[in-house]
Amino acid sequence: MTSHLNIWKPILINRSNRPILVENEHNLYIRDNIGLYQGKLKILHRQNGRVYLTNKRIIYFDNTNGANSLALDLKDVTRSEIIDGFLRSSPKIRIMIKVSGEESAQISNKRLVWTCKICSFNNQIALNFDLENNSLPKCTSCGITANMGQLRKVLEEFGSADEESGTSSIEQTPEPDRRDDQCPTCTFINHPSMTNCELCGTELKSTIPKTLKNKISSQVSSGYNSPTNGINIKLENDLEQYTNGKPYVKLSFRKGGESKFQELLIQALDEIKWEALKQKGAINQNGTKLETPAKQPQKQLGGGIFGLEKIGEQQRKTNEIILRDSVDDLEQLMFRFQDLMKLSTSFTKFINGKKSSEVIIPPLAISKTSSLYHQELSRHISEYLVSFELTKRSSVVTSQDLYAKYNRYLVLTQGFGTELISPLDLNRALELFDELNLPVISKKYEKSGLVVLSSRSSHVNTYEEFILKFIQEKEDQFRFEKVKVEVMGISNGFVNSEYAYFKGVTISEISDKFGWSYNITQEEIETCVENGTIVLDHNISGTFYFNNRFTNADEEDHTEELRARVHKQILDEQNVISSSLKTEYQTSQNLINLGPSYEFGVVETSHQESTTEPPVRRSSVLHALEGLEFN
Amino acid sequence: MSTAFSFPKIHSFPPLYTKQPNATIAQHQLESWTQIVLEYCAHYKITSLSLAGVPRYSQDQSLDLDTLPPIFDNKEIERTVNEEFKTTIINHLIHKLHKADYINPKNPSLGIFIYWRSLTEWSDLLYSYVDKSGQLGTILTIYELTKLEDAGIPDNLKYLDEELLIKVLKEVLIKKGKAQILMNEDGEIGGVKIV
Repeated sequence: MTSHLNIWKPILINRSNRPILVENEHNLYIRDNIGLYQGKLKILHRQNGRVYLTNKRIIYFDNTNGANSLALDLKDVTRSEIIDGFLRSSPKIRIMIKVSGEESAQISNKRLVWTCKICSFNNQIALNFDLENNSLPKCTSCGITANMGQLRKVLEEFGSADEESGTSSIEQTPEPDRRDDQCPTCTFINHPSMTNCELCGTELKSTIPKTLKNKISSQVSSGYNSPTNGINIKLENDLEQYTNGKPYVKLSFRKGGESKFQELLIQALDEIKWEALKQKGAINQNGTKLETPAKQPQKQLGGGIFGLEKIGEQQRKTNEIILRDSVDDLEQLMFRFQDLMKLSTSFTKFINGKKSSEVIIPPLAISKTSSLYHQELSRHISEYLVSFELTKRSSVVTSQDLYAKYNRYLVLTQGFGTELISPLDLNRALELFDELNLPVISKKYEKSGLVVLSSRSSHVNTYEEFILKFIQEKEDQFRFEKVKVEVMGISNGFVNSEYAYFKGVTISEISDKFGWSYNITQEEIETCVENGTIVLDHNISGTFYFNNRFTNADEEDHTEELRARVHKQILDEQNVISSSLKTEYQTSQNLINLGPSYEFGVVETSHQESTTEPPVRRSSVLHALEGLEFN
Repeated sequence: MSTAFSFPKIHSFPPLYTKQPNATIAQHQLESWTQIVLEYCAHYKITSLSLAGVPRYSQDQSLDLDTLPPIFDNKEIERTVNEEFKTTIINHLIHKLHKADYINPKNPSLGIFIYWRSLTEWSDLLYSYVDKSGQLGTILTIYELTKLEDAGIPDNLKYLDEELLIKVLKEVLIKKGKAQILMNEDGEIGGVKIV
């Protein structure tokens, strides 16, 4: 039994894993998830691939290994039919293969000639033409149907001649002097390049020199006609098995699509046959193929379950088209994704500017679906917090702020393509702080439910001490300024109202000082008020906070000490001012000369004494220094 | 003639004018306030205040009550105690410390007595004066007791508020059986006899 595995040809593949088409070849249909069968048996390693139906070939492209791809020429196909799926067996298309081999090919190519009685045109007829079953052929020239008796005679004549000589009566009776380019029927000597006789249309013998012929055939055989070893096809079983003994291959459509394939395949086959006919000259120049009328979409197929099923099928088809088209766009986008990512990260340096931090935390490289994701995220956030947010002992950050800042940080460091974290993930990560023993601790205020994060090492329950200290500092500073203003004798509306009394601190001042969010300050202040360490002054211009003076004894009066400090500072400032004036004077002599004996920058002795003098006199002394302004 | 009252330092502490939310601090705050009120009244010899804290009567006849610095205001720091807090302070004086009382409990809006000197102390002062002056058992008019010039009435008692005097007589001396009040025909107090 001859092997038909050699109908499979290797194909060329381009870099994007698509088959390279030959000239004048174009795709008709593509379908994925297809397996190949040779006869009854599966072809190994060709069970999952795409099938491209072109106008010349059926190309199988293997999904797992592109090198396993192969193709089948439609020229070798006679017909195809659908085998419906049953239970677990997928629907298949059976493709009948022309029986190859010299003998049969020759027979099928051999033609008998019958002459039309009307116009005496030499028509051709297949050797194995079945007179009983087929309708009688018409003359291709004048269209008159042939006479049954005449045809039978022609056939019988050929049959007897064949039996006698064992060779064809037409082709196998060459006369020695006949040239290759002489028509065997009408003896017209044609041009060597003609394939058919110019006069009667009879097929001519090949006129190509034998050497050339050999060359071509050897090339062809090395390229295409080589036996199976080139593509290494193996079947499940070593033996090819065919039902009815006729060779065929099967395409198994694991995901459907067989009917459309079949439809297009038949069209393609028809096209090829038509072309073949044309080439044989069996068709008039103006002859047109009878187009099968395009199938109207069968919308009204009557009622009943059948009708409903049809409608459903049509719906599915439309859906399929829509989906495929839309997914095409999506694939395009995905294709460009990498480029977009590169582009966006290339902008990162413009966003960052020069503000690149010294500490660089490597981005989190773990999938969101991983079970370890939240733990890793937790560690990453903690690292971020310790490096950037919780730098001071008094640093606290709310979870809301953290969420925003962390995501902004991700964008700044990793570009716009970064996947941001969701609030849900953040909360999960925060809950894990304790479990993972990270250096950050989260705390929830009972009253408002505000969650804040602070460093574990410097964790304190309240930030009371910071606030108290801050208020104290503010108050001390105020007193100092007040004394200073008094000493310098400045008196105007602003100063008088500004330094009338210590106005306390506001929540925003505290927030600014410690870099806390307003919410945190409010919570902390409330705690302090509850503890009785801070008292509030609520008036029309807002709420101000003070250290508790109700319970604490009045602290001793520092006024005198403050005065001394103020004097010292004023003197220092004065020295700086006068020395700078002096240098200015020396560099540019344009300054008005106050007096030849006057020396800038030299503090008079009275200044030194004045430090111990009462402030009233002190200020008058200062006023005496003309040309100097104090700010 | 006395000098102007110098308010304690806490009077210039802005939070004093806001009722503190913390109970302990609020307690301290009220104590500060009552102390200020009592010291202020003692300084100016004010025996009664209106509910708004305005002086109603002072023994010191030379004082112009309108020019006295207000207790519950501080112009320097632009703070004023609001009405609600004033009421709290007065209630604290009356009910917790018993250092004040409504002039007429049936009509609180009339004002309050400020007991920087308690009723008993007042009665002792009165009794000892009457005793020393040898007038025990004699009938004296209210005028003779407090306002008579050149009668050797000590400064403490001089120009004592008539209403307060009657309260002292009624609530302390009469209860002790050391005084009697004689009414005249018009139903007014005609004289007082201290024994």
